[in-house]
Amino acid sequence: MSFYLAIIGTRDNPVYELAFGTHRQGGDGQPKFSVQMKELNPFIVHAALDIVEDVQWTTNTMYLKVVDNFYNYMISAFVTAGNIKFLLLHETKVEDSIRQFFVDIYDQYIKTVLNPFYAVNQTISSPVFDQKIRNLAKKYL
Amino acid sequence: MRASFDILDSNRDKVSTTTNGDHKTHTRRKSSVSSIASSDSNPSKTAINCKNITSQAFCPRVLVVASPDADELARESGFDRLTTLLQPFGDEIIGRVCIRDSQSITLNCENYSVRFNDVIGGGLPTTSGDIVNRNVVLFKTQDHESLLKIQVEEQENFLNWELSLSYRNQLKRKLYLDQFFRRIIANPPVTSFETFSHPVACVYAISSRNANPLETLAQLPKTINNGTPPAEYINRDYLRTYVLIHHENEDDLEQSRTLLEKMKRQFGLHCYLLRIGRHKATEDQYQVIKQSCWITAHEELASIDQSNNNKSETDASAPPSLHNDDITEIQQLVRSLVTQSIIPFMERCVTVWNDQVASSRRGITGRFFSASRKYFGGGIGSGGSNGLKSGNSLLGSITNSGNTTLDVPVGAMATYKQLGFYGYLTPEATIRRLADYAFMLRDYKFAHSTYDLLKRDFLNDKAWSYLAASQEMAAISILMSINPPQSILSTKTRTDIIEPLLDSAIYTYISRSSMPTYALRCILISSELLCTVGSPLAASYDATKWLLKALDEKLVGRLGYALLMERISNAYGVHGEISEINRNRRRGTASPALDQNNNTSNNTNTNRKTKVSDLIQSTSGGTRHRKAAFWLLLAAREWYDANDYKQVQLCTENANHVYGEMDWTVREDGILHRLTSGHRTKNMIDQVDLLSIN
Repeated sequence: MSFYLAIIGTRDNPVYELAFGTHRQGGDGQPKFSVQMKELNPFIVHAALDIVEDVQWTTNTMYLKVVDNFYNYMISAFVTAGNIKFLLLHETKVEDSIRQFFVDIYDQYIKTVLNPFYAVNQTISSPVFDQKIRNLAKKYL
Repeated sequence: MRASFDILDSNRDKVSTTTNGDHKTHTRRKSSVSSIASSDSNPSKTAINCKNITSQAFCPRVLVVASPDADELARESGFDRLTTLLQPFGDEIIGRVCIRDSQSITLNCENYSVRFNDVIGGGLPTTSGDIVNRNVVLFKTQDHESLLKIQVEEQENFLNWELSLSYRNQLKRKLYLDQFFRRIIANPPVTSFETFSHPVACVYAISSRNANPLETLAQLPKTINNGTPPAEYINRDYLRTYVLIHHENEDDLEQSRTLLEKMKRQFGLHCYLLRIGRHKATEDQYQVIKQSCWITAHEELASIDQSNNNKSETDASAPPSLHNDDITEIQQLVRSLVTQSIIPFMERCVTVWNDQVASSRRGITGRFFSASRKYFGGGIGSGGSNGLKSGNSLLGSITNSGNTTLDVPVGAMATYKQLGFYGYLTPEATIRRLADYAFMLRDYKFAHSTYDLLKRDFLNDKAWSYLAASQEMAAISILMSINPPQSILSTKTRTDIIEPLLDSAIYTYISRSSMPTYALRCILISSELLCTVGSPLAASYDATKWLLKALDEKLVGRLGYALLMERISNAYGVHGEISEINRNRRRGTASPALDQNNNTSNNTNTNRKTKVSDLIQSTSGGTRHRKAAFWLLLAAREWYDANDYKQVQLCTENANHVYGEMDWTVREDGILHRLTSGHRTKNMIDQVDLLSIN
């Protein structure tokens, strides 16, 4: 199973992206998207923003569950208070772990925002952040 | 157009400043929205065109039976036979056509059409079960695909880089409408489960050259189908009309007039005189008559082949052409045929059948009737159909066809269980015909309620093709009856009525009776119509869902696949357009209140809450431009795989309204980069950066 995580800024710009695989069931944590799928990933997630913008007004929670799907893939979304969107492309429906995953990413993201040298919508290139997200992915998915 | 969108954008700015207090700041990329809206002015335009095509496609069929001398006359003008001469004139009747519907309300139709053909559909081998209707194809997928290929290649030459985007989009739209959509719904074959291709009327034509006109006319009915009787599911009580073609140059008008009088005395009032060949004129008064636009892919391919052959030899046959006066004369004839004979006849049929067959089934007593029929076998059923028989003969006397004695064939009363089809005198077939007539007369609400009556009977008999066809038409007739802004499809109708109908129809077409081409027709028509009903979700949710179904089931060839993906993109565009309109309307009514709300701070809390929810409704949601761009990209990938780089370019250019401003889209491992760079190396024409064009 492969996942693609994107943190999208307020201007539809990617702030952070990560493709990873599962560590469960003997997975090695590497993404195994097919070639056709790999080049489409960012576009699929971008298209799902349309739905996210509809759904975010209908609920009080930040976690929007599965908002969209593309063939066998599903897209789960999480909208932060600052209108930053976390989107995850995944193949199986595991709402609880995805929710915890998102909440922990939100935690990490807040810590990044606290950095005085970081401006909203700036790309996050910190290797520490990257490593933490990978660890979270390993923990939950 | 542009100006109005600008106004709209400034409005939106005003609103978004007021929402800033909300905890979720809603940023909208207004530039991309407006550019998509202005460049492809309205995506629903194509859908509305499709609606018009659909209403013209399901039109009365008129059987043409011509004497050899009448055919000879047509041949002198360069036509194959009289039918081909008449066909182009049936495409659009000149002027308005008045139709009275079941409620006696008059409806004016601008673009009514009829279709002329000269085959009635011979007797199929009568086997039991659903075998008769299994594997019937609406069109041959290969023919369709190869025709599409030819047309796309032809269009290649016009899709030049220098031409404006909107012009190229227009060409593309035309390709879809005329070569794809129209070809799929044009001329369905004669089948037992729908009566659109069964004749409604018949034209017996002779010319003034005939030596024994009255005898020839009397003999003409026997030449239909070379003498083989039509299949037993085809209604034989169609309207008979008689046309005398008078050749002005050769024959005496007085003689023809007396002949017409004689014809009227013998055959009834539906006799017409057509005067042609009045002038020996110069070339410039002649007009080339184009082929009817309703030919199937198969016929079109044949004619393309033929013209190619002709080119390779000599330019042997001149294109069929007629004198201007003759053209108006024929137009007038077709018009009076339709307005004076065919439509009144159909209106009468609808009334008679509704009174005698359908009305007994409507309402609570009708339900009991069909239930008792189910449990007590044929006794009651045959009683009901005796009434029907008398009804038909009553109709026969109205239409003056009483002079041809009706010998009822054995299969006419056949039930589905006996022969695998319903004979034309059974109540089921009659109700279906009634519904089809109502549909052809554009009385869609009545048609829907009539199609609905049939469902249980067909389900009980396991008559799958019948069931699917009636459900398809039931859904389509609801969708056709909705004309925004006067009426809008409600969410309830959409989810509770249309969706199950379409779901069942498509499933039955594909799985139970293996007629995938019909499933494709159903999906195409209904998804286009769903884009015209003024409900954003109908377009972006339902229409795209069915189109995706068509893709998943592989109902189309490769180019069709790409075209359908573009349709999905278009449906998402329609969503944006409709919610834009809705938002405007709501803002138009709500904005004074909003201003007040901002100015006076002493509003009650509840009042504020409703206003905020209004505001959220009017600002949020509504666009699907990212989805639209995404599906354009997928379509571009299909065109790329089909080595059609100009189409790739067109798709990516359209998608660039969304993707153009973002740098992540042109990454080297992304699809957009692959498509555009591949196109660049292969076409070698442009050094211009595709993305900087806009």
